[in-house]
Amino acid sequence: MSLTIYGQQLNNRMLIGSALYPSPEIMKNAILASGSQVVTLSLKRQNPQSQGGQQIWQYIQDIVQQHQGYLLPNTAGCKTAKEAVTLAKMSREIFNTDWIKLEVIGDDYNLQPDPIELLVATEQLIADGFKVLPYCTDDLVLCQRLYDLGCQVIMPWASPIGTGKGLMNPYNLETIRLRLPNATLILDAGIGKPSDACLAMEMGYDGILLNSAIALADNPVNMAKAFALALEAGEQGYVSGVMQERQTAHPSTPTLDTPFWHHPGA
Amino acid sequence: MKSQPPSIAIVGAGLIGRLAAVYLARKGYNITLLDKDDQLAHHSAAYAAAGLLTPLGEAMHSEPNIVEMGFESLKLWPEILASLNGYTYFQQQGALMVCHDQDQSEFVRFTRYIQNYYPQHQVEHLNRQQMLTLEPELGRSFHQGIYLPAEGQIGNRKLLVALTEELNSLKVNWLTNTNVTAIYQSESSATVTYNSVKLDADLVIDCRGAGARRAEAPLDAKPLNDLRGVRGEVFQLFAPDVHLNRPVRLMHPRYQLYIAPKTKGFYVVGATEIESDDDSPMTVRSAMELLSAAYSVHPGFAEANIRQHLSHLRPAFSDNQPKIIKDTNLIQVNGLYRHGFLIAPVVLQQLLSTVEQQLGNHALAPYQHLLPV
Repeated sequence: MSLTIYGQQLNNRMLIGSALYPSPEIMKNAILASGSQVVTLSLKRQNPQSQGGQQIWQYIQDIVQQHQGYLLPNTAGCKTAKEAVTLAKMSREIFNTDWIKLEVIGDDYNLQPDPIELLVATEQLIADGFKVLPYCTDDLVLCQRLYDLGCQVIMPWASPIGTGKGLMNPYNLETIRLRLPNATLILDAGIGKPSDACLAMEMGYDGILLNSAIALADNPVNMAKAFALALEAGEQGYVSGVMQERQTAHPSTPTLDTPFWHHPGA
Repeated sequence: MKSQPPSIAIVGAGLIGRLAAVYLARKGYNITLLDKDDQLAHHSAAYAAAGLLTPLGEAMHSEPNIVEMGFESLKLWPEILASLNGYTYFQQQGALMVCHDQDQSEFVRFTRYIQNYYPQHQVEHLNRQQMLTLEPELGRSFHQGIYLPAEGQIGNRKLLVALTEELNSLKVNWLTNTNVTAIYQSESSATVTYNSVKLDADLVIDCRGAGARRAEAPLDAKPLNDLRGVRGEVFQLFAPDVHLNRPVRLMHPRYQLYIAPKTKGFYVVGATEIESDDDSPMTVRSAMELLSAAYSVHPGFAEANIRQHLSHLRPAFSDNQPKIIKDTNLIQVNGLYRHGFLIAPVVLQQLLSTVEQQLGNHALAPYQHLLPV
C-alpha cells in the first residue's frame, strides 16, 4: 500500500497543498489528519529573493519533518518556461530538494496549464537534475511526451484548479492510466468531494493532490480525514477487483420460491 | 507609605498601545509610551487598515470567538469614541456583499456557512430592486447582494489622530522615534532600555505588533517566536464619481476585495493577504488585482486618483488568534492579525483587567471566555 515518488516510498497516497487555510495551525492539523507525507508549497508571491516567506516555510517544514515527509515546492503563478525554471532553481536552493511540482499556466481565467511551455521547462529542468512532477491537462499525448522526457510522475488535472468540479473527463483519465501503466499518475487539481478522490483511486491512479477541497471546507481537519478514508476505500476497491457491470439483474440471494418461468414478459 | 501611582511603560504606539496608554493615563497611572515611529504612526498596521467592523464578513476566515469579539466590540466602540474630543466617524449602517454572476457559488457558500454556524445573526438577501434602494450605484451592475445589517466601520486614521491628541492633553510622556533594545524583569519591577537609557517601571506592556517578531525585535527585547507577519496591500483612492454609503465586499474565488467608503470621496480598497514577511512596496500584480476588482464593482473607480498605495505586515500567531501573555512584570499583547479595529475594544478591556490584576487590584474580566489570558 505504498506510493513511490522518484524512488521514495511513501505510506500514504495523498499529496496536500498548504494554501488557503483559515490559519497555519488549522493547516497543520489538517495535514496531520490527512496522513499525507508530501506537502506542496508555493513561493512565487512571497518575494523569495528576500526570503519573505521564511517563517511560514519553516512552519511547513517542521510539520513535514514531524512525520518524515517531503516538501514539494511548486511553481504556481508562473506563465513561461523561463520564469518556472528560475523559480524552480531558487526553490531548490531554499528548500534543498530537487523535487519540483512544475506548473506553467497558459490561461488566466481557468488556470489551464500551457502544454508547450510545460514541455520546454520540463526538458530544461530534467537536464539540470531536477525530479519533475508536472501538472498538466488530461491530454494523453502531452502526458506521453512528459513521460518520454523522463518524468516518472505525471499529474493530470481532474478539472481546473479550485473549481471542485471533480473528474470532468473520466474517459481521458482512464485512457492515460491504461496507456501509461508504468508512470506514477497523480490526479491533481479540481477535486471537490471525497468521492472524487475515491473514483480516481478506483481507476487505478497512484495518488491525488489536493488543497482547496480541504482548505475551503467548513471543517478542514475533518475533511482531511474524510479524504484519507476515501483514498483508502478507492484503493482497496481497485486492488480487490471491481465486479463487471452487466445488463441483467442477478439476485444476490437465490429466490427459491420464484418459479423459473416467472420472468418479465412471461 | 509613598503614594506615587504605579509606573507603566508601554512599548509600541499602534492602536492597542495608544488605547491602553489613554485608559491607563486616565486612571492616574504614570505612563511612558515608547515607539520607533513618530506620532503620525504611518508605519503601523492601524494606519494601513480600513477600519472595517464586519464580524460576519470575516466569519468564514475566522474562529467563532473572533466573530463574537467583533460583535461585542461594536457595542463598546461608541463609548470609547465618545470619550475622545471631536471624534465623529463611526458608522453602523450595515455592509454589503456582492459577487459577479459567474461566481454565484460564493454566495451559496457564504449563506450556507452563516446558516450553519451563526444562525442567530441576520443576513438579508437583496434583489435588484432592494440593491437599487440601498446602494443605487451598485444596483446597475449587480442583480443581487447580501446585506449584513449589524456591520459597521470606523475612521482608522482619524482615530489614531484623536488618540494622539488625547495622549497629548493627558500629558503622557511619549518617546517617539525610539527603538527599544531590551526589556528585563525582576521580582518587583521591569526595565526598558532605549538609546542606552534604562527606564524602570512597575510594569511593562508590549504592544509592538509586527515589531515583536523574531526578525525585528532584538534578542534581549522579548521577541515572540511564534509571531509572523502577513503581508497586506491597500490603496487609498479619491473617487468623487463613486457614491457608496457603506463597506462593500466583493466575493470572488481568487480575490477577496473590500471597498470602505471614507469621508469626502475617499475610499480604502484592499487588501491582499500574502504569507510573507516582506513589507516592500506594493507589487504590480497586487495593484492590478485590487484595481481591476474595484473597477469591476464600480466603473467610477476608473477616474479615481490613487492617493496612496501601502503595504504592511499584520502580526499573527500560527492560530491567527490574538493573545495576551502575562509574565512577572510584563504583559505582551499581540497577534491581532487582520482584526485590529474589529476586536480592539474587547482586547483593551481584557488588557486593562490584566493590568489591574498584575498590580494587585481586583478586576473583573468579562471577556475571559473570548480571549483567555
